[in-house]
Amino acid sequence: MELNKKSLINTVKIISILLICFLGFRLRLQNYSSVPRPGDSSDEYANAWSGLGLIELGVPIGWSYLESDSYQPIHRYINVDNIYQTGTAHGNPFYLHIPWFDHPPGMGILTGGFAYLKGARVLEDATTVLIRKPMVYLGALNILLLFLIGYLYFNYKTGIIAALIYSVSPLIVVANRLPQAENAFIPLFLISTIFIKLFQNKSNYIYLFFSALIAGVGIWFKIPALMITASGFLLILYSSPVQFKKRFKPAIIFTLISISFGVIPLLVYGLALNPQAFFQVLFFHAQRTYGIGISAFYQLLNQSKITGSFSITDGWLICGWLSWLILLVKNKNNYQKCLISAPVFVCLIFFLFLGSESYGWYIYPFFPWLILSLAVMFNFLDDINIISALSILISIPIQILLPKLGVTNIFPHFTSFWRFIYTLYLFFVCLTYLSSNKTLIKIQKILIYVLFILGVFLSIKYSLVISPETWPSVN
Amino acid sequence: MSRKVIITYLIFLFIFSVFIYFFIRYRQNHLFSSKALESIISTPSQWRTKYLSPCDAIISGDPNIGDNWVKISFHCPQGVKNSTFATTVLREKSWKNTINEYARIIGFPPSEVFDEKKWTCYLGRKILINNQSKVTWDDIATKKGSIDCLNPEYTLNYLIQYYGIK
Repeated sequence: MELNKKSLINTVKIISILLICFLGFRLRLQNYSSVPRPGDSSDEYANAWSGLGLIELGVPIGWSYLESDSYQPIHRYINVDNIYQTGTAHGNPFYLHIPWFDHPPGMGILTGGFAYLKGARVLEDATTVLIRKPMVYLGALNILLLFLIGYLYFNYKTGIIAALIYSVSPLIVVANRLPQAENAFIPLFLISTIFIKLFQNKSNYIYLFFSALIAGVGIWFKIPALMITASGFLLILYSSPVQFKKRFKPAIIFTLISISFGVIPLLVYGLALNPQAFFQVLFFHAQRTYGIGISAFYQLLNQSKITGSFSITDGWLICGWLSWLILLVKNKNNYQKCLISAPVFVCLIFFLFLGSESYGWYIYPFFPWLILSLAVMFNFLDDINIISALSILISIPIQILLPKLGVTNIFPHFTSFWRFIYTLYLFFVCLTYLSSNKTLIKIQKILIYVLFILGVFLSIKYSLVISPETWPSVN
Repeated sequence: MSRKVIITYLIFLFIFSVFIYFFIRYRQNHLFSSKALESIISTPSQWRTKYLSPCDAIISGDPNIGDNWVKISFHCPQGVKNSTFATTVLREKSWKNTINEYARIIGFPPSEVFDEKKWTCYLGRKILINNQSKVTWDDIATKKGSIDCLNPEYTLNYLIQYYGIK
């Protein structure tokens, strides 16, 4: 009887996570080829073209504004997705480079390869219908991987909450559709972190080896994927109960394997195609002036950009940042503290050092870790300080989503109603915090979950509302 | 991790790298040619919307290309279709190639424009007629005027009036 009950609970748990993955997949699939608009980010074409070029001609083709006397582009109109009729290309021809070395070939082989398998043979065939499809699958895979991280490092509840938020957050739903290299190396980041945990649990070096190889593969997608190696190094070094001396050796082995496996094949790729152009482009990128400004970190907190010019203000991400800061103070467990802090610190260091220009995809690697931070907060509901903080935090997505969904237009008196309800709610939170009354705390906990479910529901609704017609007004 | 595993990994990495090098070299030498490159770049998509006439669509927006552009205007029964065309994309600079490339981008048959019964094209007041045109590329490049193609229901007087009124 006991066994049956246990297996039933396990079945329900597995079905729940599968349903969440499916929900996330459906939301990502909705209007995936038209939102964001084709051409809003021409980088997605460059990646796919490089893959098509490699497959068909043995040489990557892509567009880039980099040029020198010996690395001259050819100008061509490529009317993929009718971008010259819709106006997203602003009438500009593409500056094509052959071979194209702006980014490593991983993303091109993934999206271009998928397009090729679906019948694409010329550059104009690489439409968003084809090249965004693999990203939708990867987005759904991320949900499962984030769940596994939450489950392995914390518990089932953390995993399921993180997965649910990640699957419905409107910003993440839309961002996950874009064939940007960041979206491809995030799953590798998560898998590598899972293998590190397995290595620590089972002390089997084969897991460390796989973790390092996967971290290395990330570099084939984009060089900033070195952040996976940096994060893994810190996790191995600081998140294990064994002696520091004993942790140092695996951390070094992990780093050397991942960097060698990422960098050496990439160098060989460049040397085989055109060493002169390859090193020239590397040099160009090293010299490139990025839009780093004094306010880069502030912009990271308050601007949730998807592409260069489109953004969606997402309450879940704001909650994630605030939760991360709270957990930096709160978390005493060395092991969990490291998982929460290391990846975000590493992402932040790479963001500020390598990029921080206002293109949206530079912020994508933060997403799973910030959402995980918010989910971890739910583990501290025995602490009145966290209960009070979470009570405020969890209302942020709702406050952002209600006006976006046009509730104020449907119910003219909603603003007055909300003001009344929210004032009462805050009064209740304040009273609970000051009195620490057990009954009030219990009610407060229930309210947190009710608001969380309401936030998830509104996020689903909003993700469904975003269409090609409403997209220009989501900013 | 034993020394043996690390040595095995290094051997694997070496073989893998050598394989990548020769695989890429082989494919590049056997697949790449200027003709194949031009074909992959310029061939219109099998899934693209195809139009029958230049009146159906335009190139929207003005390219950021310095002085290397020309205006192309089709005076259709339903109104004027204006596009700004970047001439840097032309391999061989001529007005015919301009129309050919423009037709490829939009997706209509260029023969449509070269059919004298359907369209008459002008640069300023100089008529552009297939192979007999006396207009040189320098005329097009330096004048920065538009190539105007008129539907049979319009005449040169209409064009003069059109720009005069404008």
